[in-house]
Amino acid sequence: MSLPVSSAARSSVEALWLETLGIICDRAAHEVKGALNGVVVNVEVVRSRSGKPDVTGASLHQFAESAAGQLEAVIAMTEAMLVLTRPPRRPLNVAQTARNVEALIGAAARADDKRVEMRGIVDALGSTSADADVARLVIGAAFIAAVDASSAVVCSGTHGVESAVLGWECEAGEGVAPVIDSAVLSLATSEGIEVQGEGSRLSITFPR
Amino acid sequence: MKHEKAKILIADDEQAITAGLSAILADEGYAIDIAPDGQKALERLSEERYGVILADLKMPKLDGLSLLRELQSKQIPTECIIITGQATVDSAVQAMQQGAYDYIEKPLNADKLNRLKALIPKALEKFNVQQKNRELTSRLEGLTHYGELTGQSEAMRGVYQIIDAVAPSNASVLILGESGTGKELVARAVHSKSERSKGPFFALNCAALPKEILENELFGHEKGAFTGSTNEKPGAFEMASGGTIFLDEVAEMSPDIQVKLLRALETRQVRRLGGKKEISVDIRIVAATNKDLQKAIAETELREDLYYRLAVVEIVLPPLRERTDDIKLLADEFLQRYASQNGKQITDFEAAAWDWILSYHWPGNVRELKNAVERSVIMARGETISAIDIMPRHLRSAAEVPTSVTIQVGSSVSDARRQLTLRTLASTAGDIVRTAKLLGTSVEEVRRDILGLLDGAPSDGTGEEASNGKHPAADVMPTARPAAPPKKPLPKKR
Repeated sequence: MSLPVSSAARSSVEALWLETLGIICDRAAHEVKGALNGVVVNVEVVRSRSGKPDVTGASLHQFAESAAGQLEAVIAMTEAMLVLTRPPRRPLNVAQTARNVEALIGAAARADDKRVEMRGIVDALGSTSADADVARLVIGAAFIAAVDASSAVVCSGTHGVESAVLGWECEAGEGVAPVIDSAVLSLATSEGIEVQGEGSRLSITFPR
Repeated sequence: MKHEKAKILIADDEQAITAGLSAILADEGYAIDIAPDGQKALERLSEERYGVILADLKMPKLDGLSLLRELQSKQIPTECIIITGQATVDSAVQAMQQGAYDYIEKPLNADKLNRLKALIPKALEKFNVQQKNRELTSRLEGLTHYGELTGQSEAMRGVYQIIDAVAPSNASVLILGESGTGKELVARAVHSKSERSKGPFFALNCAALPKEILENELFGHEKGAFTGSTNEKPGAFEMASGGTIFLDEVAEMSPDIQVKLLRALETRQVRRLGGKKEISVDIRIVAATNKDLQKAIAETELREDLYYRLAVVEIVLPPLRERTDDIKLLADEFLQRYASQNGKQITDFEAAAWDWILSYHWPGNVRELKNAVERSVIMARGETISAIDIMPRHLRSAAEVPTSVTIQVGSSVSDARRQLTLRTLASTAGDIVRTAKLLGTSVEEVRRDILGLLDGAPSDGTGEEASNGKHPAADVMPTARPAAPPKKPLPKKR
């Protein structure tokens, strides 16, 4: 276990997380609203057509399906958003946090024609002994940096006894390596979280 | 009668929304197409005509506002309804200012969809009205324009008919006309209406280039053909192969180049300067001259055999003074063009300026009129152009205008009257009121004299022109240039 974060550092973590969460929600907002609009429009098709004679249930099926699909997407994004706005569980579950961030940032990136993939982000990655607020902040900042640097990002995870590693491989783009804010890096180092950037790859090692 | 369904394009990256909207609008009887982003929407709108486009403000590749700007700049006709989230209402208002028909806020619930259903027929009605307007404008344009040529006079319609007839063939064309009548524009029209239009159009002015350079330009040269020729260079015949060569002022060509040109026309082969091999070329020749060709041939300036080769079809371009129907049309067009180019809010010519424009005999033809209007637009200070603005500097001083009128014996009284009126008008620098005062007549009568002359009305009601055969205006307007010589018959073709 790392030492408790000082109150000054805590304020800094909270401020940086609010900023990161703001970016994540801002990007996801369009997708949430888009999905909700999809629900409304498709329900409207079902409602207006179902009142007409000679309309079969089968002809309404695709619109009902579409509305349901959009609703599921909204639920997934809303749940992720709610989890990220609450204080993190301690110790922080690395895989679950990565999946929540991806549910929002990934949806927005895909809407911008980008490719975001998750590989091996399994529960076996486990949790980290690093401060949960700092670890969550680092995961959020890394995800944003990766999708900003490339139009094709693969997020993968490997786990060992001593650590859990999250990696972001930027497969396409202008050769710009993902860059994390120096204040976040400094907090990560103080918590024993190792951040390594090499070419188009960014990897973060979380201590057990 | 079955009506064609009105076409609507939905541009949005949210598939669930486009599918639902598409179904709702299809139920309303519209034909719907979908574009997943702004760029695709622009491509579809460039290929097909849609009465209405429903565009999301936030889209990948090209957002709604940028799409709207592209539609405006490319002048693609459609009515745009912007669909926007509440957070972007400001942008939607901006879109309205940029020409969007209206906007609908998301979420697209039943109320909003009903509003959309009510908006679309109105937008389509506006589109249809504007479409009819565009068609009428285009038809009107077709009456007054032909390619880059402007003119609705009988003479120009005759020219257009000849171009229509000759363009699809491979025949050589000789364009005759005074300087500034638009001979190159006719040549371009012949090229663009022919099957060679995808090939090059190569224009050469034979009078502007010294003999050696012209020969080099026409036929090219091999490396080492002359001092300094370090590289080989293909000539116009090679470069324009598959297209058209326009030889302006062809009668100015030196006799030995004429021989080479004649040979190239007969054999469709050219030999570069210093070269040994014959190069086959697929070329159409359009030539032009402002010379009196009969005289040029008689004085052996132009080879008669070359003339027959070039003049398979002749197009005679009338001077502007013989196209009085077109002067106003051209002046208006040039005024709009140059006012727009110079960012000036000039709307019209003053009455006195019109009087002068319509009575002047424009020896430099369309080019002179164009330059005069451009100059007057630049110089004008108000919203209209005065007679002084449009007049060439050398005609502005009344002192330079001859103060007497020569009337041939046998001229009609009305001709004499008109000549006197026009000379007096010129001496007052186009001041119609002063002209009337000096002549002791009314402004209306002066104007009637000028307009009667330009309408081609018979000078005395009998249809006879002045006995000397000249255009009356040519005799009395204050320029040194004599009236155009009467046309001499060209040598008969063998």
